[in-house]
Amino acid sequence: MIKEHEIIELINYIKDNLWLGDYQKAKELINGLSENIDFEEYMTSLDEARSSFIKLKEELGETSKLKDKLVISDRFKQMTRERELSRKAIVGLLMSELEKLSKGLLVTGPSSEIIRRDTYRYKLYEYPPNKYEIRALTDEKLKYDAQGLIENLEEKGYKLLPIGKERYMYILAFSLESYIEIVALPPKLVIEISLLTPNSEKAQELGELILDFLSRERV
Amino acid sequence: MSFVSSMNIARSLAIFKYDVPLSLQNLSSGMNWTINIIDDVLKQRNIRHINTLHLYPRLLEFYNIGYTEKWIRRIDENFLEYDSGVKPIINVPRQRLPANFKYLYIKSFSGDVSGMIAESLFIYFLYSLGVKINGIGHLRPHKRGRSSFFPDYAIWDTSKAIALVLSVNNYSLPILAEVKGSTSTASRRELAQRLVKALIQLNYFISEPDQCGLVFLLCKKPTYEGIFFEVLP
Repeated sequence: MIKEHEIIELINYIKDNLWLGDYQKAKELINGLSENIDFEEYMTSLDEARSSFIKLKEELGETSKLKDKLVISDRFKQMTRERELSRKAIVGLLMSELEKLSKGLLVTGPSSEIIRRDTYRYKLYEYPPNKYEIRALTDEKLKYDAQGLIENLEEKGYKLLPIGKERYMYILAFSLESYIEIVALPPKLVIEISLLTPNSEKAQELGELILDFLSRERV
Repeated sequence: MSFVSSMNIARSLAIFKYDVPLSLQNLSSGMNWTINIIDDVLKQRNIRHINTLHLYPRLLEFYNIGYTEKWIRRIDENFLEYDSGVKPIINVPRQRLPANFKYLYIKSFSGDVSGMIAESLFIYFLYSLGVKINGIGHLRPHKRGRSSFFPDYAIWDTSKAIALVLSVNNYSLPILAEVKGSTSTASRRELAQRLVKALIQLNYFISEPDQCGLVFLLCKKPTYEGIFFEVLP
């Protein structure tokens, strides 16, 4: 039986895939989730909580007074406690969002231009004339080797600015020909590249070099 | 080409905790109770510095994309103006207006922007405590209408990282949280009203003795500070 915190983690991972633009993976995850949990049970709890709330509001009327609001919230709390609803209603609410996404995904086409490597997937966005953004999802278990990347970029002639490299990472690197901003909050990573001379292959090459470094397993 | 823009400069945000846990049972005392709490906060009574977040605004955008309610992009750029208090001026014609009419000349920050900044900062704060943020879900996607009784966040803090800053450490999950932001210096009454609103939101769901909630209030006094309240049944 999948636990509630695992459901939330999975929902967030689905959202990460939507951010990347990997709709196929998002669909697979949503389908997998629906097969492994009693979706109906959570949605019924959400519906019950909502109807209790609506019923109370109808009984007590719309109000802006603090005292009246307090009466509504106290009565609601009592009703949901009696039926042990609140916790399941909360998970149900989060899942109701997925239901909408799932319907939306039915009308989207296949994911385009997702480039897959062993430990990461990414998509390259071009902002003409000379800006590029790489969005990547990396294997969550990997620890980023920020120091290795910094040394490598310095060897290639880049200047680097002070960085954040704790549980998140923030690196700025620039040379006469390019400016790179790397922001990572595992498993999400964004690389923004501005090139003096527009060249998407060069941007992709730089992006992969960075991603290869950051997705190496530490020995 | 501009290589280094001002948006890359790290800013900081001091986070304080109001040291007295707020019991929802006191809500029946009404506004006076929360006004006293806000007075304490404004006069630095019963508050303790917890952390100073070193903010990379660009990183804030990640929290915005993944964890806030509304779709507003580049919160990092908004944050710098928000933080410095710069308000853009719009064009004002030279022609005089009829009596009782006034031109608008300063743009205000949208409440949505300040709300998303406050929510992003809250997630930033939780992350700094060591909370696994993939266990956080934003509630209330249908804020307008029938289901407005859910608070902002449900936090499955399985590693109990939040216990570091709470008076209790044996709480059931999820922890529920409500976030309130403000675009300018709010009066004590306005802040107290926001606090009451947040507490009522939590009061729908916090009833068992092992439950706990959080309120995160971002306020300007005169620099922005995050005040964090522990809420008990």
